[in-house]
Amino acid sequence: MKPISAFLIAASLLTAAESNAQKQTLSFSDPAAAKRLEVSLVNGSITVKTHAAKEAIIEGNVAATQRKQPPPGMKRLDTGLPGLGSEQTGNTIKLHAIHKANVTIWVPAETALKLNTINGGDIIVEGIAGEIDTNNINGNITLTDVSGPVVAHALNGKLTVSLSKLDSGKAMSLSTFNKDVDLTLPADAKASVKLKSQNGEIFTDFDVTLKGAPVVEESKKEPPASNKNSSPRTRTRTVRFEKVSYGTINGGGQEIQLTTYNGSIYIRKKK
Amino acid sequence: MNCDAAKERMSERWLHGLDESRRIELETHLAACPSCREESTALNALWQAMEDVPTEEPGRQLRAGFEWMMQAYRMGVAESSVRKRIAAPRQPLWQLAVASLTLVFGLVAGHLYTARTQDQATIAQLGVEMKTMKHLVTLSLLRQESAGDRLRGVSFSESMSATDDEVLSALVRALSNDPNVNVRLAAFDALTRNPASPSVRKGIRDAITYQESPLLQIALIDWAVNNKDRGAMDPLRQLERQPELHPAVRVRLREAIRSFQ
Amino acid sequence: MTERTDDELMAEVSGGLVDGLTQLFERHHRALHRFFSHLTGSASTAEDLTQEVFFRMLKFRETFQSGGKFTPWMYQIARNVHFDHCRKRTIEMPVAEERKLWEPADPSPQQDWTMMRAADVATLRRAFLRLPAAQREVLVLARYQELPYDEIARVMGCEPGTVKSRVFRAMKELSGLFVRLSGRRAS
Ligand SMILES: [Zn+2]
Repeated sequence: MKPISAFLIAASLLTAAESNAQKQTLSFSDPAAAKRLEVSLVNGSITVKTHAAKEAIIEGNVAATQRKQPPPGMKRLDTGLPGLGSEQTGNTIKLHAIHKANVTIWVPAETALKLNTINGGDIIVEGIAGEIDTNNINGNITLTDVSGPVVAHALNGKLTVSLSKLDSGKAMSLSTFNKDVDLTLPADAKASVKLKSQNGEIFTDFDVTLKGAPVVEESKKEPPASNKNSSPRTRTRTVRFEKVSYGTINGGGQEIQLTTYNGSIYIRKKK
Repeated sequence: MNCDAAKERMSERWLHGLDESRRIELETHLAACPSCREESTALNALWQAMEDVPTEEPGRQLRAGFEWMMQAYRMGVAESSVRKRIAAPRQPLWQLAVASLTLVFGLVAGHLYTARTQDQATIAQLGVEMKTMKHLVTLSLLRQESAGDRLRGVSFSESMSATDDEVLSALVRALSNDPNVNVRLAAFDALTRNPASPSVRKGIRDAITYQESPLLQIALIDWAVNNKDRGAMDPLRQLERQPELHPAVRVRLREAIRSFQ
Repeated sequence: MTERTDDELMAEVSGGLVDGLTQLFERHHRALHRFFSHLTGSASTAEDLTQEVFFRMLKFRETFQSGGKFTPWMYQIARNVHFDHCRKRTIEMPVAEERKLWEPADPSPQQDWTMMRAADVATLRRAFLRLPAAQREVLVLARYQELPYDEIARVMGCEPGTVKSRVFRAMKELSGLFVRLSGRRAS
């Protein structure tokens, strides 16, 4: 499919007022087919909610502080400065911004999402049933009552995911570097989990059957040949703590990988 | 009945059983021939005993793999290579029957004969020049736009027991190029499940210099340390020169470089 | 509604309606898995090889002749898959030493087979895995897949009479290997 339209809504956002949120409605070209929303920000938060309508409603708030106020008696000449750009290709809607912008988008529940931001905001998703692929460098990611497969990475923020159902057959992966990974599953969810926490701990109220305890691997090896002359009798000895655990919940099923470096992992039973 | 015929008859009995007259023929021979009688007793018992060799039920991976294959196929990756039509054009047999009766026999026999030899040739070629199911599923899933599908591709590559160079290089590509950090992480895990081949080793060393995600960087550093991979020294030093390195990564990196000295 | 036969389904798949393969999978994957389990002695290898058979059915669907028989065609593919598998693992092919057992002076097994114990089953399995691939195949088809001789003949591309003598020879070889491995001697 070729692009149907590519346009800026920055104009409408910026000319109306320097601060207030503006709403824009975009339609998917085929409401019956699979829909996809991609949002990519440098600086700002992304919130996605569901509504019963078939189109996407975008509420964007491009911070007034980013731009100078026009001097008294003068107005800004709009020269198409980068604000919040949107682009629609078939059933995919893409939004992107370089200026600080917080956006809230309402879409039909079964829309697939790809959401990325770097600074200054969280990614919040509620009620989405489509597949979610999201990445936030410095903020949190919070996905509530979602039911599609999730692939998410929060580098410096916390990652919180609550699944209303676990759709079997699709792989999921949640990872952070510095903060916790917090996953809530339905009580009857069948999952095969791979858990990796370098410096943190793992907590759960599920009966997780671990396949073998975390491995403590010890290897005694001759030093490499190049070293042999200098220390002919020395054996190098490495004790390696493999912080990977495999487990099953309710007998196993959908594959879920949870990875963190400094954070802890929580797997909660949905109450 | 001679001994050869008796042996064939024993074999027949194991599978189909024998009707009255054929059974009596066999038993008459056995009564007269001690060597066949011994064989018959022993082998009958062995045939029975084979019943006790257990078989395991297939695991759920088998079904999952089949479903992924069908999906991968539908995604169209297979189309181009399958288009190669090797079979002779199929004609309904009745079309041949309009020809004279004598011709029909010749044609049908010939048709079936060529069909069979082509089958054999085609299928025999497969192992050599065609890609396997694992290729189809892993490679097509790794090419999908959805990160979830690509993750499944990685996980599928792990589910198969045999290692395969082409799949390994697809995983190396995923480790270096995949836009999603979780997919890169999974690809790295899959690559390091088995002792690395030289080309995989090189792929992992290369990744050390250009992976930007701290999670991956640390995993790669740990890999170099645990495998005592001295070839990773240069990439590690290069990584150390990157000014914007995450502090936790820098700490780990210094420890690693020290451990090599 | 009448169920479509395997042959009809595969003819459809061959013509491009590949969804029929799902039903063929439901009907035959257990049998194929059993076939490969006995041949290779490994359930997970059997899974790989079973997958490969369905892959080849899909890839080479056009070589299935409409009006052809599905089951023999399926086992022909299975044998080819097994052949390729064995070629990759030549180390585990039967060694020459075993061949000597088949000289005329070969002692006949005399022990009481009805007293098979768990250890004997394990030995039988080991003995079975030492048979040459072609003998394993014909025995699995006859003993575990319970294919009639004429179908086995079609799979193996030979006469039914030949199948009978091959089955006999394979059984004889198996009994010899079993005796050898269990350390029993004929009285
Ligand atoms: Zn005789």
